[in-house]
Amino acid sequence: MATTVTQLLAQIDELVLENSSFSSGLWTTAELIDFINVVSANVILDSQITKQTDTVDAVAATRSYSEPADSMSIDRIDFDNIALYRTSRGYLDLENKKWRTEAGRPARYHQDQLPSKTFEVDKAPTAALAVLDFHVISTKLPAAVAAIGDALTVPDYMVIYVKFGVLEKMLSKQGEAQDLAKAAYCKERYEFGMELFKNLMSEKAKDNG
Amino acid sequence: MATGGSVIDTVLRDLDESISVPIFWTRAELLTHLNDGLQELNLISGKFQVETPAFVPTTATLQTTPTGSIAVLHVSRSSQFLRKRRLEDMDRENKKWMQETSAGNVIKQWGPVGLNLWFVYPKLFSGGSTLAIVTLDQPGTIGEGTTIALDEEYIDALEMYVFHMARFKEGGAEFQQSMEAYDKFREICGHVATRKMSEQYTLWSKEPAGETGANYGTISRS
Repeated sequence: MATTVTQLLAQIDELVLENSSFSSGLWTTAELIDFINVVSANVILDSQITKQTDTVDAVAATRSYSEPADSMSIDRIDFDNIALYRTSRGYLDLENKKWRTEAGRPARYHQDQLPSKTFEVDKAPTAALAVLDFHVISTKLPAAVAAIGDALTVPDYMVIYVKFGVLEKMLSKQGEAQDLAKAAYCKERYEFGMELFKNLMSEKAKDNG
Repeated sequence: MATGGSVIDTVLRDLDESISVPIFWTRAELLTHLNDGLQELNLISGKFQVETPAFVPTTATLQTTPTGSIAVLHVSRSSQFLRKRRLEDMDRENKKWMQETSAGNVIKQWGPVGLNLWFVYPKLFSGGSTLAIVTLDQPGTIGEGTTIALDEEYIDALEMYVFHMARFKEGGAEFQQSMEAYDKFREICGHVATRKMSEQYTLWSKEPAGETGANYGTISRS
C-alpha cells in the first residue's frame, strides 16, 4: 500500500519535535511537499531502480527525436531491436564530416550539443526504414505529489530514504531549526541506501541471505 | 519468538521510559522505526528471499519483476543456474541480441534493468516455458502483535536500530552515543549474511565421513 504525504510527514514531524501541522512555522507544508518531490526524483536517479521502456516512431529523413516524457536519463536506445551505440558529436564529426547528410539504418546516437531532452542518430532513416521504431530504456521520473492526501509514487521500500533526504533538507535550512550535524547524518543514511540498491543490480547475485 | 510489541518494550526499558505510558516517545513512532529497520536489514542481509519455482516469462525480452518483490536475485531453468549479465555488456558483445529467439524455448542468460524490469536472452519463441526465480521480497509490515520471524541475532539488531532512531529525536550527546548501536545493527546484518555465505560448502558433494576424509567430492586425501 503506497505511503501518503500525510503518513510520511507524520513520521518526520516526530523526529524534528513538531506537531502534525508544523505549526512552529519553521517549515511550511508546501515547502515540505517540494522537498518530497525533489528527493523522490533524486532517489530514483541516484539508485537507478525504476526504468521505463518507450517506443519512438522513426520518421523518414529525420535524425533528431525527443526523449520520452517522464524520462530523466537515457540508458539505451535500439532501432528495430538492434542496439545503437552512444557516442558524441565530436567523434561523429571526426570520422565523417558529412555524417549529417547520410541516410540509412541508424547505428549510433548522441545527446551532446543538442537541446535538452533530445537525441540525434548518425543516419536519418530512409522511407523504407521509417516503418520501424526506436525503443528507449530510461530512468523514470516519479510523478510529483501536489497535496498531503496524495500517495508517493516511489516504491514503498524507498520511502525510508525519501524520509532521510527530506530530513537532510529540513535540517540544513538556515534558521532556528538548522542542525548541520544531524543533516550530515541524514545525508549519510540516504547515500548508504543508494549503495544498497546499487548492490542489488551488480553482476554478483546477492543470494547469501 | 519476538513480536513488534516485545521489541518496543525492550527499547522503552533501555530508554528508561514507561512501557505502558511512555512520555517522550510514543509506541507508534517506535513501531515506525522498527519497520524502517526491517527494510534496511532486508536490504543489507537479503534475508526475505522467496523462490518462485514456476515463473512464466513472456515472449518479450524484458520481463517485469513480480509485485511485492524488490529485485530478482537468481534465475534458473530446469535446476540449472543462468548467468547474470549487464545490459551494456550484452550490447557490446552482440548488438542484435534482442532480435534473437530460442526456437527450443531455452533461456540462457538474464540481467537486471533497474529493479522493476529484467531481461532474458534469448527470448522465447512461444509461451509455456518456465523459470525458477529467487526474489528479494518486501518484508510485511510489523504491528505490535506481529511475530517477527527472524533469528535472535536479527532481533537484537532491530532493537539497536529502534533505540538509535529514538535517540535521533533526542539529539545531542545521547544521539551521538547511540551511533554505536546503529553501527552494531549494520555489523550484525552484514555479519550474519557473511556467515551464511561461508556455510555454503563447495569442496565436497556429500557430508564428509569424519576423520577418514571419505566421501569428498573433489579432493583426494590418499
